[in-house]
Amino acid sequence: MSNILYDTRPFKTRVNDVLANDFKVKAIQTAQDVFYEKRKAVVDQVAEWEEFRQESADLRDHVLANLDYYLNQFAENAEKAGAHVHFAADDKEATAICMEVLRAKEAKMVVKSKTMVSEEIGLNHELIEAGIEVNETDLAEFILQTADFDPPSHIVVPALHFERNRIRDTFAKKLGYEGTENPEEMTRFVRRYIRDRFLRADVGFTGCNFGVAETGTITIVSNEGNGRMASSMPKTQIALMGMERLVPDFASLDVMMEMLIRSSVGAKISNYFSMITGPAREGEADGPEELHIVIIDNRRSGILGGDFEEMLRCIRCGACMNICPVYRHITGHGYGSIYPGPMGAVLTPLLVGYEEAGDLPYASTLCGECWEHCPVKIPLHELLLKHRQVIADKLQMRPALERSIFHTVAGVFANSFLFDMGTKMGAIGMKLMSNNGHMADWTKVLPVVGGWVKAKDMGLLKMSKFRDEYAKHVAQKGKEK
Amino acid sequence: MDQAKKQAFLGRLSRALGRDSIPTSVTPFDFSKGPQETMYSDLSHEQVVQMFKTEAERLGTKLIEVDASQVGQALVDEIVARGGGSVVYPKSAEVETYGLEAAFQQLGEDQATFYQWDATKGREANINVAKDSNIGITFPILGIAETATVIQPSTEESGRSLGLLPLTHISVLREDTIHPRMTQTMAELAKIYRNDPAKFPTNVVHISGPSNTADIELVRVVGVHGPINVTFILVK
Repeated sequence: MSNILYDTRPFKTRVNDVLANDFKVKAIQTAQDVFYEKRKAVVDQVAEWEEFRQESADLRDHVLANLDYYLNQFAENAEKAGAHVHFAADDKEATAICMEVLRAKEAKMVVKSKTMVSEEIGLNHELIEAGIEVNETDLAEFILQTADFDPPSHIVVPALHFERNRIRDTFAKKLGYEGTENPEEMTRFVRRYIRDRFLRADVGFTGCNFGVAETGTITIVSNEGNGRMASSMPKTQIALMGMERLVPDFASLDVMMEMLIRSSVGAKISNYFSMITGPAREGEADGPEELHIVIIDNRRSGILGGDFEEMLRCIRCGACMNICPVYRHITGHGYGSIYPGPMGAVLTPLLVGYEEAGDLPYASTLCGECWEHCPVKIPLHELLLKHRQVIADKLQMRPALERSIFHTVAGVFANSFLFDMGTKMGAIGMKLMSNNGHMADWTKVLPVVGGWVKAKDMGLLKMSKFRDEYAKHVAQKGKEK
Repeated sequence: MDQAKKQAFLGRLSRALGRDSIPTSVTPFDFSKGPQETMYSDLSHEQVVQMFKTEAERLGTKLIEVDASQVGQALVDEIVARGGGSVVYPKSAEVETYGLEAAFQQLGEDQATFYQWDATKGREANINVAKDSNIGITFPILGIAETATVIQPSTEESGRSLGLLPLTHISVLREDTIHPRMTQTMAELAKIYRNDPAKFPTNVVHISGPSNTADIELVRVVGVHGPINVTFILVK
């Protein structure tokens, strides 16, 4: 199983599990509402927002169209600055590179600030196998780790599905925490607990929000300061970077930061934004003595230059899931992927294949809100539809029954006589199944029909349709003349 | 760097992009179409500084504005206000310019003790002091008005730990280094880099207030891994 998927049970099983958990669903709904208001407030202040969106999309496309050039330039300049640059074709190569550095350093304990790529390559699992103490330092990820690596429910705030009492109980059980469920008190406890580990860790792992080609700089956005700690205290730093996460120069960082922070957390800027160019120089008294940058492909090059290339513009802000009506109900756990929401529904099948994630493109209403909120204008709803076309037409992966139904429907829709007859029969059928003008309760257990009537009041098709009424209207008019 | 792996990796990208090899040059991206370069261009420097102050106030960052001659006194007052104790400060030129050591002498050992960052003493000695300090002082090189941000490079004279490990971080920023947006400060940083890449600071951090989180039920808590209190002293 790919590391990207943490739950491979059928889509409906996952969704039913989530729907049974009131706290989880409400937590995500509150988060959507809070993020919506906050984002709206800061975006409304920027009269030039649409211009910025276009510029960001163009800038990301410019990088993707020249990715071989910029990645080469980045690697050369990072080396000039003293960093060790590694290229990893897939997850196995990436973890092998990390493990080799750890072995050379005889590392026994590591700290990690947030990195989605490390989840993607299953790094924690490898580290634990090797007997190395792992410490997630982002508060949310620390909570998930303490709860035996419970899966994330959101890309920016991954532990939203934990209520404070459950966090207190987990801390009490696993870490001997004796305080209350007050968030501030628990945060202070974690600060003390992790501070000591930051200072003792052999290696600090970080992600990389944007790599700068001209200078070989990696950048880290954080609010908690764990990104700064992991890149300042341990003697060795390993930065994991998806290969598409590049910008040409410092000027690009201005544009990308304008979009990223407003879109992700609804603030103008993050508390910290670090630009790291090589390891600490000789003579500096802190900072990493060695900096390793691991650039990871892991099936991204298969997306480049193809029908889904726009997905590689993504800067992982989470704005698409903060607005998505489907995510609102099924939460991150409904997707079963470390990349949830609309971006995850597009990206996951590209990274793990349709066999395992072919159900995700169907977790969408195609309403297009995700695209409207995307800071780099990824047409997510169109890409989801494109996925469905590939699944249904090219790969013929949908059930035979569905294929024959759509085949029949296409024939009926293309023929006005059949369409007319079909809708009339539908009206008669619904009338037979109705009770006081609504679909009868027993229809909920019918196949196909049940799926429609269970969740909403369908109303009934009228025997006389618009076309009949219109024909009557025209005839009436004719008489009046 | 494993050259063979690099070639194979980049070769895959070139092929995906429909070419045999990496282009030797690329037409630079045209930033002039974006709005950022002309934003706030009609503001006077006073208005830009005012924007910084307004934003800091909105964010709840403590702000003190003084003349250059009052920096020492302002720091002493702020050290007392933040509870005194151990204070770590850098070995930078500003210490002399603002006459800080003389000012610090006003405080008795029961009020505050001072340690000057000294890279020659090695890693452990410096970090050990900084981690137990109550207050760290730094001198950022640039400010961003739109977000009330200070930009702090790390150097031999002023390490990463000073503005990171102590409970309180006091930044002393000259008002004439404040720019409207990151557009201008990134241009300044690019200038520093292009002037001599080998001397570009290995770590440059943008700081916009105390560390915080909203990871537990979206409740905002100030003070996670970085400083819990932040004060900006603006020098006119």
